[in-house]
Order: sequence, then C-alpha cells, then structure tokens
Amino acid sequence: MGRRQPRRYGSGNAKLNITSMMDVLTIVLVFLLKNFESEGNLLTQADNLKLPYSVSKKTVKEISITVVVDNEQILVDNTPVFPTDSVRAQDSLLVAPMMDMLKEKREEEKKAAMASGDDEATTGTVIVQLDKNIPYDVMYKVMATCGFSGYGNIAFAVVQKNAE
Amino acid sequence: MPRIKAKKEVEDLDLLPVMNLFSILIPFLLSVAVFQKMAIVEVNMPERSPPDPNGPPPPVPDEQSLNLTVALTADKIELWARGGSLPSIYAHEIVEYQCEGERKFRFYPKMGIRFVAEDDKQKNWKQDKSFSGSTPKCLNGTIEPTPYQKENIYMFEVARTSEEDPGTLLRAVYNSNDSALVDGENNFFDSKSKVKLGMVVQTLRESSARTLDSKKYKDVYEDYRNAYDELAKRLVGIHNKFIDMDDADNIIILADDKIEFDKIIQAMDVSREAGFWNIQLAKLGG
Repeated sequence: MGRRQPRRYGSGNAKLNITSMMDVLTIVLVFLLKNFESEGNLLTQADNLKLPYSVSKKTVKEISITVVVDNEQILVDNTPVFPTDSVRAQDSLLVAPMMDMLKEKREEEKKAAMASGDDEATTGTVIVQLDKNIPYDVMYKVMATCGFSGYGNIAFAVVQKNAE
Repeated sequence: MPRIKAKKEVEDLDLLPVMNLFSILIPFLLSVAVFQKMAIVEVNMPERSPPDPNGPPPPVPDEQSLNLTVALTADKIELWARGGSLPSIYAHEIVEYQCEGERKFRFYPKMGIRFVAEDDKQKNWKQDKSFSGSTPKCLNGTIEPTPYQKENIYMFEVARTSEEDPGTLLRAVYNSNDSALVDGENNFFDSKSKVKLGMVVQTLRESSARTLDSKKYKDVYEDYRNAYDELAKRLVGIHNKFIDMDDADNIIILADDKIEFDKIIQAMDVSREAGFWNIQLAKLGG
C-alpha cells in the first residue's frame, strides 16, 4: 500500500483568516449604528393590539397619559377601566368610569403644574392607542370622553410605514 | 522585463481586539435597535354639536370658504365642498385576514369570493375556486376569523352605471412602493398592458415623473384600484383649485359608526398628503 505523503500546512501554526468576517461585521455594525436612536422610546406599544400604518413622521416629544383601547377593554395608564363591548353597547357619548379616572389624572397634572410654576390652564395631551379594527363609534366616544375630561390635545398612535 | 519582487512575509494585522469590540457592540446595538418605529397623528376635537343628521352639512353662504367634507361609509366615500355635493366614490370592501399560523387571504364579502396569493410576494391574488360561502373562513378548516384578525381592509373602487348596478371593480397599476401610477393627466392605467417599458409615468405626488426602466418595470403590478387613490386624486385637484380660499387647508372627515379606525387613519393620511393639514373629525348622523 502506497503511503500518502502527509500534507504540509504552512509553517505549522495555523492562523484563522478573519478578514472576510470583519467585512461582514463592519457592514452590520454600520447598519446598526445608523438605526441607533439615542432619544429612547416615549411610546411603547401595548400588547394585544394592532396599530394602523400611517405615513405620519411625527414622534412623541413629551411623556403624556396613554389610553389604550384593544378588543377587550379600555386601559388608562395601564389600568383597565371598562370593557370595549360595553362602550359599543351604551347610548351615551361619554364613558363614565374612564372619565372619572381621566379627571383625577388631570387634577394631579394641574397640581404638579402649579407646584412647578407652569401655567395650569393649558389643555392636557393624551395619546390614544386604538386597535385598527375598532369601530368609529367606540373611537368617537373615547375621543369625546378625553375632550370633556380636560384632555383636548388628542394624538393617535400609529406605526410608521416604510420605516427607514 | 524586470520582475517586481513580492515581499515574502506580510505582517498580519492583529484583528482580534477589533473582533472583541465588535462582538460586544453588535449584540448591544441589536438589543436596542427599533425595527418598527411608532409615530403619532394629531387631530382636532370633533365639533360639540354634530352636523345635521338628515343630510349634508348646511351650506355656508360665505363665498370665501371651501368647507370641504369627506364622509366615509361602508360602500362609498362622499365629498362636499362649498356647500354642494361632488360625485361620490363607490367602493367595495375586500378584507385581508390572517388566521393563526396561516398565510394571508382576502375575502370579498359582497360576492362571497376568497382570494389567495399565488406567489410569496403576495401581490398577485387569484380567486380560490374551492371556496364558497358568504362568511370568511380560515384556509384550513371551517373556523371563522374574528373581526380583530382583519389584517387590512381595502376599499376598492367600483364603476356604477346606475343606482341599481352593484358595480364592477376597477383596476390600476402599482409600482413596487404600492403607489398607483398615473399618466400625464393624472388618469390611472386600467391594465398593465398599457404601461410600457421606457414610458414616463408618475404617481399622485408632485414631481414624481419617472421613466420606467427595466428594473422598475419588473416590479410594476396590476391590482384592483384603491378608492383612497381616487380620493387622493380628487383632493389634490380640489386643493390646487381652491388654494386661495381662507380654509384651503381644512378638511372635515365624517364617518359612520361601523367604519374601522384603520380606514379613518388612511383617509387622514390621504388628506394630509393632498395638503389639507387641519383635520377635524366628526360623526355622520343616523
């Protein structure tokens, strides 16, 4: 049996060629750095919710109270207050339990504003996260409730289309 | 020929410290990366007193106001301006559902037709001949999807010849960004065969005329015409025509009780892109 000559490897101490890997990693790094946002996220999407897509580019500038309406219930600052189905069923425009809660929050905000010397008369801002399949009826009642509780500036949360 | 003498031994760069740095940086950046950016849409509070429930909003005698109103209902989009009513845009709804662990499908409630995508890009939809029924069913089995499993609700424009005519769906040609293509006079193309390679086409945005090169032409596809594209076309026209009016940037969006939030956001997007910045929401009576 002919003995095969053992193959020789370079000089003996093999080196890993990591140049191509470095190339890949550099590209990934640049891409991730480009995506990096130092502002942090003032708006977190609630679970159990599908937000609609929109071309709006406006982002949240300051922390404000959040109302979430999903297919089961209405939450004000993560506290469940009222089932969504009951909102649909009711005839009156205003959602009473939600209104109580919002008015309470508004009072607190006013007190805080007074303590820090700001103008307390400015209208409150509320961010409303609605599931994309919530009917207009419910949406309108929620908006009216916010408006009558002193939160006149209403913004809807959406997911940006073609986020780049 | 003189031979360039290559150096025998090339000093290798010691890349290990850089690798260490990278392997720390990449997991960190990955963990903070935001792939779905959120934004907000601001609206003005609805009017305290809703408009007359029995008809269009009362005409305002003021010559200098536009009073543009858009009303969304289940099967049409109505427009009013300067106290008069403009031709309505009739539309049929096609709903895209996604049941758990399945591919998406579309359902056409008026005709009881289910569409399935024939390619993975989900841009060419074909009628599912094996399906019949008036309610949507998930692809495998007989479960009916809940209203909250609606992934997208499309309003596709229909042409109607008379009041009794249920209407036939119109078609349009879209580019890879899902924007409808139009010719120089802002008319939609009703078939892909009318869009030729090397043609100059535009979308509804301003100064968007482009020549279709072979790369762009490849991504062009034909689909039913979205009623919101027709709305966009009308609104752009109205905005350009009445730019001098006092309330040329105002729009009132009305909707009836059953209209989903998604449709309202779409209507608001269209209005904003057409130049109507000041959006007010109100309720359609009845």
